[in-house]
Amino acid sequence: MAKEFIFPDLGEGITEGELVRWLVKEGDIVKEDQDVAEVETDKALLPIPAPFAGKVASLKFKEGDRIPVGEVLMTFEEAGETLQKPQKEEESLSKKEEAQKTTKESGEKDKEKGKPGEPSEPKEEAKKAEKLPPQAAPHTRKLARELGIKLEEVSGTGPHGRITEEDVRNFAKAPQIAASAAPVPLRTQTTPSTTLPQEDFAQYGVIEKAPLKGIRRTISEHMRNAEAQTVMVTHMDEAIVDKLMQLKKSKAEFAQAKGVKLTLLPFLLKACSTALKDYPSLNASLSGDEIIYKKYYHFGFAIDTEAGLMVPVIKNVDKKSILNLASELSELSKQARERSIAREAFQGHSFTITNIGSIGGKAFTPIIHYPDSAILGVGRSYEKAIVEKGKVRAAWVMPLCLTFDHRVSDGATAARFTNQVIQYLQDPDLLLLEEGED
Amino acid sequence: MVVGNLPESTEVAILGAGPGGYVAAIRAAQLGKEVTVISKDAEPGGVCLLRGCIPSKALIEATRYLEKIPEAAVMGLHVEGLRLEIKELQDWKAQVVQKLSSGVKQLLKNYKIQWIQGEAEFTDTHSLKIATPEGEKTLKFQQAIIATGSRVRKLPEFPMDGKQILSSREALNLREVPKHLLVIGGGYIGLELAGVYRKLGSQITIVESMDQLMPGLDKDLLRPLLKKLKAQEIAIHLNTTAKLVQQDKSGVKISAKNKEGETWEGDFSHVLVSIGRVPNSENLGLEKINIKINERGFIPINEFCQTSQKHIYAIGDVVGGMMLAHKASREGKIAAAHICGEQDAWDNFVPAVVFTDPEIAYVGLQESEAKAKGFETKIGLFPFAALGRALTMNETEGMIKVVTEEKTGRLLGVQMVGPHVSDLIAEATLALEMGTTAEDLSHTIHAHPTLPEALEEAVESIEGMSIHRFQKRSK
Repeated sequence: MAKEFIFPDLGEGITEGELVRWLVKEGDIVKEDQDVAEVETDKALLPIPAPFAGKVASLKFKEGDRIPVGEVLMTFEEAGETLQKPQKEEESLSKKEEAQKTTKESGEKDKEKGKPGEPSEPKEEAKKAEKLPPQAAPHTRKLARELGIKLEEVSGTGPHGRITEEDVRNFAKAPQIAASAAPVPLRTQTTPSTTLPQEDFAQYGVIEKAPLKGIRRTISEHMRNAEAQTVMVTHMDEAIVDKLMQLKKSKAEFAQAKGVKLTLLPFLLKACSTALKDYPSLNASLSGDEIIYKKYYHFGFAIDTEAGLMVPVIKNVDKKSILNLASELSELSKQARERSIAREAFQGHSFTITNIGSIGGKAFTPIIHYPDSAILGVGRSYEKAIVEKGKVRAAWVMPLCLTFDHRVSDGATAARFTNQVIQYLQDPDLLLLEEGED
Repeated sequence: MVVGNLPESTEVAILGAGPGGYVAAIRAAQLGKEVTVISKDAEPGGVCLLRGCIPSKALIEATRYLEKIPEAAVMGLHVEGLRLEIKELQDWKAQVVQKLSSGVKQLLKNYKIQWIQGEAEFTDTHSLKIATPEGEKTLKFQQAIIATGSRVRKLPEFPMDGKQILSSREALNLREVPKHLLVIGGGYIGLELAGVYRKLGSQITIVESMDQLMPGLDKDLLRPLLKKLKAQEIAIHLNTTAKLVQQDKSGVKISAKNKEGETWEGDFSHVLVSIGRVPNSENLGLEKINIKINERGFIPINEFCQTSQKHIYAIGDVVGGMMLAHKASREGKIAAAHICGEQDAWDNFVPAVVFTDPEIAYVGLQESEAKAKGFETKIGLFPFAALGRALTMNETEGMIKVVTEEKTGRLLGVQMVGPHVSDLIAEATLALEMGTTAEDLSHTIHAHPTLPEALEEAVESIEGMSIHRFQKRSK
């Protein structure tokens, strides 16, 4: 009898994963806990261990397939498997006994929780759960099915926690916040995919088609979601960073001695975490009728990898020194580029910085890293002629582009926040004065 | 329903015209599909309508008066010369069945559903071979629904001849009252028919191989029924199996043996074999299209009623579970909706109703089942004897029992025995589907004086707060 290995719930609201590659093939003997496949979820590559030992009977998905949680991933023949005993015993019953036994079992007395489907495997599963079904009316349950939502994940707002139609709709609209403040469980079923009108591009010239998958797919879904869930405005300014450049240069050796390569990014992180304490609406999430202000400062920072954009999270920016931040940034970047980074390292962000400076660019409009309410984009620092007190001089300037969610913050807030960040960047000594717990 | 020119192909082919098949046909047609029904019977309705639920209820209802009217003497109603002519009763019952069946036929016609009388067999995943009275036919289909139902389970020791040794089918059509009827199998079919013929004057003996009638049923529910059976002088032999000794014109001689090895013999004019039903899953060509049946003959399905061939669905008795018409109908609607792209799926509670005297009905978990599943339960009870409406009806036997989860107050199950509980179970079923708590029910006004008040009182009794039943509250 084959044993089924159900693709496990990976937690954090992840509903599916992409099969990157099989580590076993049909006929292989597998030990318990031996990794059988690599699956990509969100932005991490996860090994999937076998839940039991046995011989691989069949693999149910192909590499590149998206596997929904709860589907049969593969089946095993158990080692040393023998014929099913119970069946034999039943067959050895006298015909009459069997007949009368079945009378008892058939139809009228099968009251397993009022569920029929005793021959049906999926229903069997439901019976074994032995927990109350979600408190929702049949109409609400149907709506959830239509929207591809598991009612078990929806928290009800009705009396005694009853799940209403509205709860389901809200969950579909803002799954991230409904589930928890930090991680971003993607709900691909609810994200309307963009389908072009049936146009045959090949009539205009040569084309090549590639499936949307892996990180590209994740990014695509994240972006669409952010666009759908927020009202974004970008505020742009420049900071004069001569002093900062000087500081970076002069302390490079000191940092080097500690094994750290000093860049501008840790200063930016610090400037933002310090300024955010005065502008909490930029370190917040809007959920339904509530604004959730976060008293922690975990920053996502965007990095360009071969596979595409990744945004690891550096925690408690406000509590760490510039050098600590610098070393942590380089470690996380390395892990992300090697794809050895843990999935958890992408979760819990409250604000995000995206620095395009190493490649180039002055002004752009970053997309909020939902469910954050702001993201700071940084362009390439460059030398330009500026006018100060009637005199022209050469100065290093850093372009800053702050995209904020206008539902939560106003333009004035964004401008004031940016001014404060600029102040810290122009005079980094101020960061020293502001250093420390509130 | 279109008869005559048989179609070459159809969008949806439905095998069987019972309460699963014809309901699926109508729903699929309502949703815009072109549908063909293939039925073994010449008329739609299946076992339920033609030789099960409907005819038995007609008989039960008629024979009820035989008992109710004399009982009404306490109200001052005295009737002399009360008699029930079984032949007239059978004619009336046949009319009821005919009326319903032709009603369904008309509905199928209105929905332009094709009708083929015959036996269908899959030849490949998109074709059926149909043996019709006019010869063999081939029908191509896009989707199919298998709704072939079940049939009476045979007992080899008692070969049914339809005259003395009967299945429920013949027992519903008797035009003479049996003198002494042996009922083999104490399930709901046996008990319902035993009640009918007892009221018509038969002497009844019931033989059941398990240790209680309606095995698995909550004993609280069974008690009022046992009391009634005793008052009716119906002999009940539990843990007992029967063997045919001799059969001749005068009747059937049997020998019976119980668990302790004690034996007895008896002579009966008729024997009713009611030991359950088996699915009609053979001779459908399922092996040709790689649809497997399980060891008990049922077709496995998923929550959308799809078989392992995703475009072929199966519903009703042939998939097992509770072999009840309304379960089949719901599955028929799910299958039809799913074929038409709707997100309907099975996630239901199935009420069970038994038309014994008194009636029994239940839905959800019984107390013992809830405990076995690890729920901390709280129970409420209310007897009809304390209910105004029941007293005015002179029907005070029975009670309503509710099972709730202690922590949340959520309703887990409701069991009823007593007057019209086959109707009363509807509210409990809705309550379970809605996921209500005990409080939802106790805060709902139930019209007075009516029988459903008993449910409100039963729920209130959980906390010792029933108005019409004194309960000492433990502090």
